[in-house]
Amino acid sequence: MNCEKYQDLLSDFIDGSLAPEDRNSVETHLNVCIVCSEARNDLGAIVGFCLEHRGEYDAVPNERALWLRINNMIEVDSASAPRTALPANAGSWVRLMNRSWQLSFPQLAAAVTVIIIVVSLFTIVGLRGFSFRGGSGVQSTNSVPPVGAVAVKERFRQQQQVIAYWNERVELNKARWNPQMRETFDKNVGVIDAAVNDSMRQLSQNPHDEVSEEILNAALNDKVELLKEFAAL
Amino acid sequence: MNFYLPTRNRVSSAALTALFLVFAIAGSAFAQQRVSRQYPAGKNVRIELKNLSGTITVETWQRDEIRITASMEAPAVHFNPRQTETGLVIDIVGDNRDRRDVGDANFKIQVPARSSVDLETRSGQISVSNIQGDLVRAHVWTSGDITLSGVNAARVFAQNTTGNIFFDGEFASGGTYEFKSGQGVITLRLPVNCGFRLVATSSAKKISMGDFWNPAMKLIGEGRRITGDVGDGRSSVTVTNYQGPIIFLRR
Amino acid sequence: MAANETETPRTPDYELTQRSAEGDMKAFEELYQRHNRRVYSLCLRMTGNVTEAEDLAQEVFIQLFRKIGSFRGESAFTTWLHRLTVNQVLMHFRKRGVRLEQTTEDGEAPIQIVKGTENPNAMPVVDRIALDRAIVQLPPGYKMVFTLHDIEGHEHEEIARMLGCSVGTSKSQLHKARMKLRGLLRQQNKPK
Repeated sequence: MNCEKYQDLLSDFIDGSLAPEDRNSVETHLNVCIVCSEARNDLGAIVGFCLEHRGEYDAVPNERALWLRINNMIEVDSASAPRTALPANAGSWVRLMNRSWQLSFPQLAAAVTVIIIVVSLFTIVGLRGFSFRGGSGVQSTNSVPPVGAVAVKERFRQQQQVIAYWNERVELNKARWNPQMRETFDKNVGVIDAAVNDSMRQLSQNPHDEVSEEILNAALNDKVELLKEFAAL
Repeated sequence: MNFYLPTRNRVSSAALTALFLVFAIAGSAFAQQRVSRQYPAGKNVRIELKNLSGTITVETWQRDEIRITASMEAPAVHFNPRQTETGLVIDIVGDNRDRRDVGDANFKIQVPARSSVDLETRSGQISVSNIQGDLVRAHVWTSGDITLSGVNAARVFAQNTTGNIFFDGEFASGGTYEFKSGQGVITLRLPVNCGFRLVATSSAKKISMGDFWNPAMKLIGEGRRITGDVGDGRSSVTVTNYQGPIIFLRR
Repeated sequence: MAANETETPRTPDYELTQRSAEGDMKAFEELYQRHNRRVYSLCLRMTGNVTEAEDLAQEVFIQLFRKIGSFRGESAFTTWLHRLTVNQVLMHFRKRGVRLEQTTEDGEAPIQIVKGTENPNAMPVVDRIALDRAIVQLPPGYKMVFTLHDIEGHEHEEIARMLGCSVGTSKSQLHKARMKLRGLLRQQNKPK
């Protein structure tokens, strides 16, 4: 065997996967051949280094921002995804919520009657409770922001974190762009920002304005996507 | 004061100017790199192009071939179209990743009419005409007009941030059509008999339905959104404009 | 680090996967916290680009959430997640038109000089940054096998299953990857 053939066996030699006779043959050759011996040492150093550092991983530049992106995507996903087959280990509540029902007419009529009775009972109890508390109920609803408004604010806050992260990445790269690209980018971010501000203003006047909420979400998503796209430039 | 130069000086000034112009034009011509490549194609091919900046023009022709003609500002732009099982992928962004400014790359693409096109650029105009395939997607991340004319595809997506979007084509039954802009004018020019289910949103409250308006349509959010069916409503159309108008025109 | 792990017993990964499958996002976040670095590192090694690696890692966790209900606990969760990550990376390369099997031939990627890292404690041939830079220059097929075998510690049989190739191909690619890395790393010691 020549050196080339011996060098082809070096990885298996280092990994200990050579047959005993081949192993002896390689060992004998390495004792007398400086070139192959050096190759063995170099490969051994690479393999040894990897082994020594196994389990050491690079940190994601911004773990939190990445998590928020994943979380948002999953939320969007589950809001738009059609219901599919559930895993065998899914919980009973999950199963119940994903079930589709086929009822005969008597079953349907019975179900509707039960629902009407239950709703009526709750309404009566609720109205009594409301009349006992008097004006305090109104006051409490005034002091607590609507659930929708809280969700919008929370989403806005989360998106702002993601935007801040990508913005930072864009700023690092901006110096490399030509002036025209910088100007175009800034102008277009301004357009999206205007849409965000406009929607926020509308929402502050009417927290239940669905159109503004949708535009706000769309504009924030557009901004994140635009920043992501340009962060790689 | 005498503004006239002596004749001899005038001649030499004119000669210098002419010389300068010749060099300037020649210089810019040499700086441009023009490449043309041709690929065999079936009837239903898919072209994907991701550009950095510059114009993209897609036209149809009778041949079962794809021809790409690219003119690039910087001679060193990496331009490596890849043939895939379904067509052709040109990724100027990926091929030139981590490189400094590579300037504009302008593309003219000729394809069979039954092709699908998926086009994206950071800035610049996109123009697509007479495509009859499954998909037409045109996305300008920042500024650039999008013109889609004679398009009759099952799925059409057009999006920019600034710049106008003009669509002149037909909506196929069961098709999906989305148009979105930050502040340009979105104009949809359609045959009068076309049917679609519409969700049109313009924060600027400028939605002009023209002949496509009918009383069954709903105005939502003080006129910022119009929803409803036009004709048989068999295709789905979503139009969103953050700050600009949406205009429907009858062909 | 090991001492900490024994002092505060953690919820097993399997339990977190079950809770995630029922829509518990806190449990899923915990899984993300535990494993994001490993997923990201593999993506980074394979792409050599931070943004691309982040996008890939994001896609891996979204896929993980979609498929988490199908994890039965028959293998370790880390192995299962690792396989999912490798599949995503392979899909990513396929989308970009990169074919792993084409890169078995030498000379696909031109060897460039890897700069030294000026670390006084560096080994004469290998140090972390230089190795990472050299790995990025490997052709995709070599890179994948080297990362899976030498960095992640998978056996050839497992790699062959993941990549859909023979054990022989995996071994041969590993050897070629090591030899190519050796060449790349030795360049840095040459006087300029």
